[in-house]
Amino acid sequence: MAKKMEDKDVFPGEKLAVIEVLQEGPGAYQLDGNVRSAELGRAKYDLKDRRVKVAKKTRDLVLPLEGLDVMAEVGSVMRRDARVDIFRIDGKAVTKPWTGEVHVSSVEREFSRDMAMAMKNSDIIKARIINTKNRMILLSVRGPEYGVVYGHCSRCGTLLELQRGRLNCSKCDRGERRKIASSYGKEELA
Amino acid sequence: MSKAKKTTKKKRTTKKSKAKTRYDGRKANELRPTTIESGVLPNADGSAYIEMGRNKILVGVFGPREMHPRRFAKPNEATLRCRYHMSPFSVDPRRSPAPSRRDVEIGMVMSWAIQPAVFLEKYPRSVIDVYCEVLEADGGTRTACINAATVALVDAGIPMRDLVSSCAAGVMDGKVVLDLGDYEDKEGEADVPVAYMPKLGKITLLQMDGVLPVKTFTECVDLAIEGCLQVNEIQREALKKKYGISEEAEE
Repeated sequence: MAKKMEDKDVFPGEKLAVIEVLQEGPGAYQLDGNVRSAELGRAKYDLKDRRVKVAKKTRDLVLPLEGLDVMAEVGSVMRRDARVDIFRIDGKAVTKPWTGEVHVSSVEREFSRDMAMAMKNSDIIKARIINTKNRMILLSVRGPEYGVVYGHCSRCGTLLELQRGRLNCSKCDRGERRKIASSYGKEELA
Repeated sequence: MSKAKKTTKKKRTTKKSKAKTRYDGRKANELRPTTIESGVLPNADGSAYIEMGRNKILVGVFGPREMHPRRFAKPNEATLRCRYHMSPFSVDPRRSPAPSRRDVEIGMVMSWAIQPAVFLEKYPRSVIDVYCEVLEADGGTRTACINAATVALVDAGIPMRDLVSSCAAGVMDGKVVLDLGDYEDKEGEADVPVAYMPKLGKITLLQMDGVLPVKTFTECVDLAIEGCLQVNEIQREALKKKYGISEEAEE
């Protein structure tokens, strides 16, 4: 029995323990009284916690989970909300963007009259996922670290520059208002 | 006239004596030479390439990702969407590249065969796309696709209950044989493709093309499961090679 409890490499479906002895941890599942591996990886027996975990050797899935920071491109902006395409989750690029929504209630109070005051089409924003249980992934840009990280001029499309706390277009000298993130112009996108 | 009859008889006897081995020299319970390689497509989340006899199939897996069109997203689980496609040059004569009814059916059957092994409930409102491209076909492409798709899904890091292994058995010249090639598929009396989860002992796909008595059908299923176990070993070897798995655990 002691020999069987040693850490080992496992394939999906392999029996790791019986539920009377150990419970399933991350990477394992329970079926018909047995704990089996759900991943290709290394099974680790935690005899103190009475759990068996499987540390996966395959790639980590990039999924939109609550509490994670994301980067997104703003699509359509309406009075009360904005639709965005999430292209980076927790610093990892996703193969196909997820659709998200920023509601006006998730932006600071000074922008609550109109969402277009906080962000505009084609802006890049940094946001936090607050809800994934509905049809749309809900994002929040409340807090100094969240908001627009790259904005474009609404007249000529040039990248806006942050000068003395305001956004200015270097080409047409137009000043614009956004919910600016503290990392404006510094975020790595590639 | 009598001479002619004698010659025909002679010919038949020769055929019968040769029928101990199959048209390609295999034994009745022998698989075609099979190799699987995983992680062959860097742009896909997971991928695999299988050669099963003369079948050559490339599989790419993407996801879990957002379902498009969004109205097809299921609120409680992910959707496993399989696309089976035969290249125009995969068969002789050339085949139209447009998806046929057969392609759509095999894609659906594949997704039904793999679904029980995937934890779809972990990823609500998303989709896992499996793209199978048959580069060369020689019978038994649906089973080969399931085998490669399973390896590609594991390569994509998608949690699974077990590996799904698939193999067909059938009847040729009154004899139950394993892993039918194109010739046996067309000339044989019946074909029974089976997909099986070896560790859980569950069948996830069972089809039959042809008519068989119950006893022969059972023999076919048993032989197909034997084939699935052999395929499972090849799948594990492919994953071992890619991920440097040292030693497998025995139950």
